[in-house]
Amino acid sequence: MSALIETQNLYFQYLHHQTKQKWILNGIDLSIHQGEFVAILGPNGCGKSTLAKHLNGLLLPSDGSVQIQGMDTADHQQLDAIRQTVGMVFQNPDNQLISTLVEEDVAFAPENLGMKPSEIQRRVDWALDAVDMLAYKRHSPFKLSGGQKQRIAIAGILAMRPQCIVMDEATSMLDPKGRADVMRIIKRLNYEFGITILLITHHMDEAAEASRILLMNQGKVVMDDRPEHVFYQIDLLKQLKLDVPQVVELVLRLRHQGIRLPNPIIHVDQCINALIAAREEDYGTY
Amino acid sequence: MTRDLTVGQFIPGHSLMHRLDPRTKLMLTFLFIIQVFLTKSALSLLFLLLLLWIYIVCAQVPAQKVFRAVRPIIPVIIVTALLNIFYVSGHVLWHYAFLRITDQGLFTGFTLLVRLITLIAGCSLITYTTSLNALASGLEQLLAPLKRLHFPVNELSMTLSITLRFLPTLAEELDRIIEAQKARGAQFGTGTILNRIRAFFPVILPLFMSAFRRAFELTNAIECRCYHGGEGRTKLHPLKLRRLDYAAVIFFLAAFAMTLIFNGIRQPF
Amino acid sequence: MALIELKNINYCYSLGTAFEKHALRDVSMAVDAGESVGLIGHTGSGKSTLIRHFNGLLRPNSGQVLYQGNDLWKKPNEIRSIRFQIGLVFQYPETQIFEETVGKDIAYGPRNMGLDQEEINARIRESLQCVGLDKSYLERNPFRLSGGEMRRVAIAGVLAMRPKVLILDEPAAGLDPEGRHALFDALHQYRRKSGAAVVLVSHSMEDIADFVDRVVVLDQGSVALDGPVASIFAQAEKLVSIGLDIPQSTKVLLGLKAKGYSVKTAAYTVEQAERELLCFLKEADRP
Repeated sequence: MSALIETQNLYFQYLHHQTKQKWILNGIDLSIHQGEFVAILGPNGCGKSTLAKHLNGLLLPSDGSVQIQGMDTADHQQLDAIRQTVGMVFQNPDNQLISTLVEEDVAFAPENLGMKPSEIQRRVDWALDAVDMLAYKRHSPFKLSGGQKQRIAIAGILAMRPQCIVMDEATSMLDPKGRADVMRIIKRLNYEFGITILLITHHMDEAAEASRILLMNQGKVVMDDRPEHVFYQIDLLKQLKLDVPQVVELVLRLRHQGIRLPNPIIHVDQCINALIAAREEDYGTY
Repeated sequence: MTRDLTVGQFIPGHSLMHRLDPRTKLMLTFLFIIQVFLTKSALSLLFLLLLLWIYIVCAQVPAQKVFRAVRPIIPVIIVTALLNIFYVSGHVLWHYAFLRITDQGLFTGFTLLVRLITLIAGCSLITYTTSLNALASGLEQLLAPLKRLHFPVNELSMTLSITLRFLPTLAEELDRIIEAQKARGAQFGTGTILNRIRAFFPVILPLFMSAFRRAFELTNAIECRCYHGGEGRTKLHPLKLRRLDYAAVIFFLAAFAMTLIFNGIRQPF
Repeated sequence: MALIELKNINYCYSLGTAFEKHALRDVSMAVDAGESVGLIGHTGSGKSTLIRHFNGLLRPNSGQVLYQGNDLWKKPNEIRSIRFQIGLVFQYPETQIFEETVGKDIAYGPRNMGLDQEEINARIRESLQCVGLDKSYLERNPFRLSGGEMRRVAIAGVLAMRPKVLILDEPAAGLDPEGRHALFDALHQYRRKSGAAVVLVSHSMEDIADFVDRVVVLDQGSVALDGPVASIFAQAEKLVSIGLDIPQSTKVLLGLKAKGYSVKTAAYTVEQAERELLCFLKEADRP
């Protein structure tokens, strides 16, 4: 099966033939398959957002290629089809909403695609329902919280019925409640609707929800693995100035004290269960 | 923080006025403005007030809100009315030095006051009952014939609706920047004019930077949602004239005629 | 005597209109010289409204704001000079940068104070160094810096006034971990050098746990909790019920407690949690 997203030998620099600066994207080969939940981590300036903007043709490669379901992003004819396949949600929710009415905002993409009003209405209702915001259909987005606005932005992308949604630091401006709500929606879109998710984030606890993590540094993918492996590469994380999740640090410290804990522990509840098991096991030996 | 951002902002609802087609509302607002300017006699003035009351009821907008829209221009209205009181000839009721008040002047001044308030209050109703997008698409449709002259009607209406969408956001941002610069000791509204203007640079420049940044991000966001101009766009709620619109037009035309008739009837003034 | 004290503050937005919103109810809190206080609460709890009272940007409907024992609103025309002593850093402060060089932008506050050029230059250098940027930044265009660097330049602009109280609203919001570490290093350094009191508003309990001595929790415009960090985190269940996030280490302990094990949930750093968990695991040895 061919991949949903495939980058081959991707290099990028703004006006690269004039500036001779080092590459922002420095040879990226990547395939992402339908239904995956991928988190992209890396320090600022590592090229995460630049990579994201290549995935639906907002930027075009200086060298190499990006294929979306076999369509080349450099092919101008396919741009609408590509953007309907890979949608993108950005950091600041205020700068993505274009209408003073939630419903009309979500309708924007289907309107641009020239759909029939009945079909637009169907998609708008479905998309708003998928992000739990149907009740706000006739509200003004201006008065909503950051998390709610961001869910409207997601609905605006969903209305195109995309295969994949790229979240470009879309939770970084939200408060804990807003972040939790957005994460819950993203997980639902992935599990229930099979939508491929690419989550660019600084928050390790969000990345822990993914099934695959790409660690980026200086325009390259330096690690591509499951979170339970990536999170235990403490030296690499520290070298990239990323946070080590507290749970991981805790597990490592306890192991150092001679406590036997099983391997993949990245979530709080896994940690709790492992601790109880360790205690019971210990208890049993006496 | 001190600005009341709700003045003139759309209040969602289902009143008669809300349900009218935005095109109808734009045309009728235009008609209403002409009507206000043609109102001359006491009787037609009373009739105008009655109409305003009917329209407010039909819009189901709190009267308090409507008159809040008038508040900012009250000084202008009062000055205009006063000028009229002193400068119109007629029976002199009171005079002092070169100032004199005549019955005619008093009436003209008062009429002007009422007319201007009615005008602003009436026009505020359209913004209270019509979402900006509806307003923009109404305008777009009304201007559609200009497309043949290669006038970018769709793009204009898109620009307009985005501008209106971002006004409250930028107003909020402006408040934030003012507070932040105050926290660094900025003083506004003191010193020479040059100094006052200078004091605003630390506020205006960041606001511009922010507007640019927003515009840049917005461009990406609308591109992601397949925007490429007005060609081939459809609408979630296509505009459709209904019976209600025709009824409203007939009502407004009748009201207009009544004003002309009332103007003509012989009256004490 | 506290350095700055809020006494029974009440504040309503749009007072007397249909949109009236009671944002602060009878809030009292005090900050001592050199103290570091965390202010937490979910969005809409009144934190942003509260910090605007510290330097007279908002005037309370009732209650007093005392700075060094003097009521701020007794002499409203002296508030501007007090703002130089109570530095307030808003959210996303980099959006207030307006000058074409880093040096000029940092100079804005000191210049408003009416200092002479020599003193201004000294302060620019000092505050730039404090936020961990070297002299080469002085002539650089602030709009070409990275997000984290811009943030630190903006904060340097406030530090250059040498405030005795520094109030920061979500200073690390939106920064990557590296930017966040650099920022908190700068704040630690400023405290150490100047002995200033710091009020830190944050959603991140990890940052709060790292940086402050005392925590004030706001909920629906009132003070819900006020005490040393350890005693606040000891009431983790209450924090959760108010809708606040707690550090993962605390979550682990809370989870064990919820399953019926007797553990102390007061730990909020990895070290503390480790100690507590070692006890928890060893306890099994002596039933």
